[in-house]
Amino acid sequence: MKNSELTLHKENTPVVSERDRAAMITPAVDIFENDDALTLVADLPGVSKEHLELGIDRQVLTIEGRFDRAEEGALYREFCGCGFYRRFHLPDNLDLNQTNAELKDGVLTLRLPKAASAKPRRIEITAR
Amino acid sequence: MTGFDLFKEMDSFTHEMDQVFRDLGFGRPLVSGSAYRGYPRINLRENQDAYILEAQLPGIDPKALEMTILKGTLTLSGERKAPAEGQGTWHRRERGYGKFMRSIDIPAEIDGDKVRADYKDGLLTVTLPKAASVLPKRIAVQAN
Repeated sequence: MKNSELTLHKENTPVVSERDRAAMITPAVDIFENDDALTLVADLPGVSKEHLELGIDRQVLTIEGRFDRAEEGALYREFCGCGFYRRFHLPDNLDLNQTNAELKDGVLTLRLPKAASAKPRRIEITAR
Repeated sequence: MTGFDLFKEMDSFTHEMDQVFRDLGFGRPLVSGSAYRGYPRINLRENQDAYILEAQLPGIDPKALEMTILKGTLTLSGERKAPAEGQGTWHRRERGYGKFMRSIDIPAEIDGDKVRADYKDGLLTVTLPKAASVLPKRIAVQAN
């Protein structure tokens, strides 16, 4: 039933082949949750705002960061210039329209506020 | 509260496999005797006039970063501060915090006065110009 849609979606997914992705680095992340929101912090050293792709599609969050840099003349290497890639399945109690992302000094901070219905509520008791 | 399982990671298996292999020798340092891995991760390359060192230092105040060069050894030290913790739950804590120090041997003589360091997007790039004594010299042949 949804098969055609899925294929279409796959074709639309951009730029990199699956093989390239396998070579990409999984960035280190912190995920913190409080009553209001989920906060995801990811280390993406060397990725500028222009080269960062963030997407949320069907509750799947994709973080993809690339960087362009000279690779010739390498003497010693501990990280590759192949970019960062990581995906997460998001819980469905978030208000995705309120998502806020900030990139500073190679650190991505993504705030995913919870939907109003998912926030804990205090119920006042009226005394009669 | 959102359960840990709800915040599922996708494709994690392939990536973990990949990293296991990487640690087994793929992408190993090209220079022997320098297989040590510490924080920060570094790349070193060279061009005609200089060595270029890149270090991954995301989320660091460049003012708090200290760099010294002594007899061909470059030492980088600093601290990454842990974020303030509020009330809540950690689902992942993979990013490290704390003090670090790392020394890197520079393979040839450099001109210490002309070293330049730039910090951008969490990446530190240090340009270490080669000393005049190690640069190739062109000798003019006199025709008699």
